[in-house]
Amino acid sequence: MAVGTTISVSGLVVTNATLTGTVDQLITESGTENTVPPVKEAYNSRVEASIEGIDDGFTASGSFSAKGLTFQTTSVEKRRTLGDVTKVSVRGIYYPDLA
Amino acid sequence: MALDKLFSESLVNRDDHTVLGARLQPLSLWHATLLELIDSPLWHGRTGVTMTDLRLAVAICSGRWPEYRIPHGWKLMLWAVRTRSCRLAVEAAKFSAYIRDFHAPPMLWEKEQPDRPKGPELCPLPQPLDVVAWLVRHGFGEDRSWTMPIGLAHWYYVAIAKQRGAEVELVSPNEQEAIEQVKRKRTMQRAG
Repeated sequence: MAVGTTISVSGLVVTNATLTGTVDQLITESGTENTVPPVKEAYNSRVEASIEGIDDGFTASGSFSAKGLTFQTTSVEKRRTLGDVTKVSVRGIYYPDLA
Repeated sequence: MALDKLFSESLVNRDDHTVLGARLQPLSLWHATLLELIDSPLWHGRTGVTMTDLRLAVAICSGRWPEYRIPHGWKLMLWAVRTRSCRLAVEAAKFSAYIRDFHAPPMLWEKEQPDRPKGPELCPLPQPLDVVAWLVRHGFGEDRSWTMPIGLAHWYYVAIAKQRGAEVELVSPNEQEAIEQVKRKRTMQRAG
């Protein structure tokens, strides 16, 4: 994703957002030498979102959308300040391989 | 990084606030304490302000620590005569502008903890005394702590607490803009 692109989340005026993509290479060694199965490789790719914003009708649920991806919500934190204003910090994860 | 607007507001103040013909001193923790003491509707931003409320508030805020001047008897009558042409709405608005000019403390985020069990609440210190005691403890003189502009006193209080490791999360300028954006949207929605 290009630096500076806008991230929007329904019900939030986003003030800070980070999307981080990672790929883990998972290697399963063969059990015993010269036996099947041989070495297996798998890739566990995922995108993690960390988004902060001012509450404008945000509803905490099991998922949220950003950049056209649906993230499974992993945590939601709320902070309040004067004037009945709430800041929401939401984190989520998206697995491309499962999409 | 942009300087916090509230911090700028707490540093830069007018020195010509005049209400009901009286020159007001820089609004300080001393004045705030006295306004709290009389439960001033002007200080609390309540409606239904009377001329007596305004006179009391002006008398307090034109005085200097550690004195307070509440006019009574012939002095009060003389003041009333001198200011009889003043309109309450106009003078009250001037007093509100004076409060806004000086009272610009930092905005802080407070973490929501709905599941936290509520224990017995300790008797809290009066808030102005808490700030003054903190400032005195950190090297400010008693006189300066009571008389410095109230917004600045609160900024020092938070800055020192933060430097000493308190978990204080300020509302950033970026977030202040977002809050204004949400407020504008809500106002427009209410207006239909």
